Amino acid sequence: MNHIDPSDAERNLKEVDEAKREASAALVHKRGPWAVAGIAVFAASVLFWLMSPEMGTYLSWGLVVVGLLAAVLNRSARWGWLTGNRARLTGIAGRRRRTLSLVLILVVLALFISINTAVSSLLGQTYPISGAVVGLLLALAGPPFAKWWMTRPEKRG
Amino acid sequence: MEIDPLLADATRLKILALLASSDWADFSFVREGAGLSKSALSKQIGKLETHEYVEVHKGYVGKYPRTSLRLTDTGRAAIENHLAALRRIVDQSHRDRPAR
Repeated sequence: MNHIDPSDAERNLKEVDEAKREASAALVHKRGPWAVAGIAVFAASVLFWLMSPEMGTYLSWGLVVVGLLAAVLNRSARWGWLTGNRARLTGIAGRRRRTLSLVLILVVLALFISINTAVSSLLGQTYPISGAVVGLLLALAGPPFAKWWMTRPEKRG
Repeated sequence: MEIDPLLADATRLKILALLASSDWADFSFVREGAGLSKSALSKQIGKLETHEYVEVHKGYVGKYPRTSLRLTDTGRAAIENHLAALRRIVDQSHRDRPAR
């Protein structure tokens, strides 16, 4: 067996733990992808509104299809990059990450539909208001929410 | 469970640790995580690939190369054994330490 000093062994173990933690953090906390997602939701809602005010429903279903497609592609080392992800986490961090995606899709859908309905009943038309609200929420609240979500429950503040 | 000579190098251990926490990972993601230059990571990946610890998928998006990395079963077993050996060394040293 190769000799290794106990202090070196301890340092190596710490570095491995740190590398794993940083890897999962780097995947979800960066503001860039959240901002892109927020702008994309807003842009899509404007586009659909220009085409037809009722298209908000199609956008909602479109989000579900995109989410499902991304989940399938994300499993592939060859095609995973198409989802915008730079890695597919495994273990506890991976499960937490995938639950986060599912929760986000559901929250975005619920918000989108409820705001659309409220705006429609108040103003008579939907306008791209729901897209703007949901997009802004994603861009601003996404990274801190993801950071909180990925933290182990016992360490949450 | 023995110390793996290939993983006695801290850089290679870090690369494998990053890959062990993922099913697959982009070359750039591992490069940033390990804090290495492109050429330094390529060199280390080459060594790990020779020992069949890492699988490399190379492709192109337009003109740009896109490389993804995946830990093989051999690589996963190697890092698990190596980490277990490290833990044993640390535990042993704690046991051998005289009580104050």
